[in-house]
Amino acid sequence: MTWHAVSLAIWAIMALLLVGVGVAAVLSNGRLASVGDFGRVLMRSRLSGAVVIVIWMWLGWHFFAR
Amino acid sequence: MSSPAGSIGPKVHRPRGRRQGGGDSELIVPLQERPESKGSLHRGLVWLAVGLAALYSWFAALTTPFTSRANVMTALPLIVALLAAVLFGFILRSRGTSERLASRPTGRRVWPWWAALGVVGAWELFCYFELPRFEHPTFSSLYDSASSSQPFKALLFFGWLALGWAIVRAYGRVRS
Repeated sequence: MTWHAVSLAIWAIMALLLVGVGVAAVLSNGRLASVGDFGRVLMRSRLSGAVVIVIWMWLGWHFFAR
Repeated sequence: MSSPAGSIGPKVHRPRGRRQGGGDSELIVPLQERPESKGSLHRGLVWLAVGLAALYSWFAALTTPFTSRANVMTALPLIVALLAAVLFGFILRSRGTSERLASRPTGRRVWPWWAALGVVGAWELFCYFELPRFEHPTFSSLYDSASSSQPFKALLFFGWLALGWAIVRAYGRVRS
């Protein structure tokens, strides 16, 4: 097995991890924060909201323009 | 024998509103704007925005990075988002409808999200500092491979626009 294949497999596990947290939040009967709750935590103040907006802008510029 | 009103016989549609005057010259004054028509208008506008965003994403996906067309197609949503963030904040504050989103404690644990993002970030950094890139692909290099498919790139662009819309709306509701 090559390093390339190992890396891809770990990336797949990372994606499953994020999906898994989302599913666990749904199944936790309100004990774990949902994606929306997490988003609200990130946007709790003007400053953190501005940081999230800048990250969003950077992502778009990085992936689609550069 | 009398029957309960409306239970027997043809139903007569009566416009809702306050009657003024009497007899045949009744004037129906609408009590308020009908919520269903307002809702359908809002729904229509949302679908129009979704359609325009999908169309825009399709054309944005046709551009090649490092070209002025790609710069313009990406910069336009950035400018609109910045303006919308300022505008939403201003409108909602002036209406007095803004709310502090995090002031409603949910009592739900957030740490699994931070932990998962931390693990993903650590793996991204590890791949970034390890070479060759083919053996240690970063998220960006994975995207580069996938973005050769135009429909997939359009889908990602659309997702990016949708995420930006959600962020800007949430930002407008935050009271500093």
